[in-house]
Amino acid sequence: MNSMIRLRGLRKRFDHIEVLKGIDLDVAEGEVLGVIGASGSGKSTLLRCLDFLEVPDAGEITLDGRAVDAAHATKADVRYLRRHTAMVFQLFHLFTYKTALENVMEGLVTVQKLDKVTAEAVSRDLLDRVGLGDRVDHFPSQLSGGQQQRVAIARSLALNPKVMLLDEPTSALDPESIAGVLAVIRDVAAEGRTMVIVSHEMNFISDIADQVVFLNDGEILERGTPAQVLGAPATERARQFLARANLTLSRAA
Amino acid sequence: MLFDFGLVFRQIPKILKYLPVTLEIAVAAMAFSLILGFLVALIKIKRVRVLTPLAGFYVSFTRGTPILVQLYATYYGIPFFLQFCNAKLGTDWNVNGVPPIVFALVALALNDAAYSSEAIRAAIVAVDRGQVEAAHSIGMTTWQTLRRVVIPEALVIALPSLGNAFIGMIKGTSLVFVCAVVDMTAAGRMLAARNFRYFEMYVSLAIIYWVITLVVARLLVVWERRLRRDARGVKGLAPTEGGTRDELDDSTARLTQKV
Repeated sequence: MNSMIRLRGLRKRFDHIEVLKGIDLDVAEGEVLGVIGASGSGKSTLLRCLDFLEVPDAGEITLDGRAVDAAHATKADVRYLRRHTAMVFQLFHLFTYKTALENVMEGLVTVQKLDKVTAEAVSRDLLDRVGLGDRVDHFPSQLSGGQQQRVAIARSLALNPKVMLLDEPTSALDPESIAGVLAVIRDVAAEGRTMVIVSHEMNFISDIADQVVFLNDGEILERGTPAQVLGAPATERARQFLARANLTLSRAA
Repeated sequence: MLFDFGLVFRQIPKILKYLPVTLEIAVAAMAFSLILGFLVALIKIKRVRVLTPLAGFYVSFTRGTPILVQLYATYYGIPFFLQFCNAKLGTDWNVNGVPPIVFALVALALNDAAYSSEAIRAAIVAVDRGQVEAAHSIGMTTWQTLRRVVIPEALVIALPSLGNAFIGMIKGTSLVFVCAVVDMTAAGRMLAARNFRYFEMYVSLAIIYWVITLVVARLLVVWERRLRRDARGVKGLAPTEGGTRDELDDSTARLTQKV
């Protein structure tokens, strides 16, 4: 399989805390990578370094064959990474004064310079796909959290990114909305799009991911198939974390 | 007659002839002020080296001195500066040929920009940082993000204070007579000098300024409502129609009801 993402020695430090201590990672084309770990383990930072929302200090990011030296990234490098990845955020971050349709169209019109008619057709199709065909003229403040997140997914998909980055996409949602959002993500994964998902939804990760990494203190402690990492973790730390995660899961159920 | 009520209203059309001058100065000075205020705000937000302390000095100095002093300072300062350039740089500017309105525009714009820059800075900072990241993540450049996401949202936040600044600007134009510009107030003073009915004249002027600010304040409210697009309901979906509301899930219904 083609390599889509290749990370070598990715490092990031905030003041005195080293958040990423040299991450090596490979994601093949069409693969879904699940990233799990406790809060503060560096999951989100890892994801955000991939499209330079955080600027990594050192290391190499290779996206679909083009290598970017993190320490000396040019503007063109950053543009390349951002154009070919799209982030879905925990808190959606839809544009307040744009309708659902305009939110999805924004990247097509402004970044890809598509004409408005085509952009609108593409965007309507995408909103249909995420089950919001009847909400195109709603503003974010008129949509529920789950609906906003589905619009946000459509907004990312509109740019046809090589890689979708999802940063705890269901953490801010109620249990009923979660199902809808996960269904949409599953649908996107099924079409063979490469994805990196940071999530605490262990069942979902085990279901959808081809590869799982367990991050602890800025290092990858475990990596392998969901069955390996979630089912039979090798380290004590991962066992501890998963035991607690499962405990909260069963309590919630 | 101690106080001529009729005159107060009879002379209004005469001074209204100078209303265009007042409005032109106010609008032009406001436009320059917004551009300068925006630049100063960006300098402060981006913490540009050298320029940031300069901007801080400018804002502090301008807010710390009276507008009347600033008008006189530009009135005498600009010719002085031109003379200085002619002497030192060999230029050949006509020191006495500067149109009076230039002094008024420069002073009013510089004065207002100091205040506006703070309102603009606060508004830009208040825009949800996550939306800026979302814009970046779909590949928008810094400038595109500013133009398409940050400015439209910051404008809604800054509009009330910028609106007040504009109203202040309209009233501030009444001082431009010190720069030899004939606006409404200056024209009124000259008219009143003929019959010594100064009090009636100032009452007329007060009425005109008051009506103008009422109209401007009203327009600003309408404009703000237009900018807050999401508060105007959904196209083809009236929140009061029972049938449509049933289709919405709870959270959506709750939100649209509020509208």
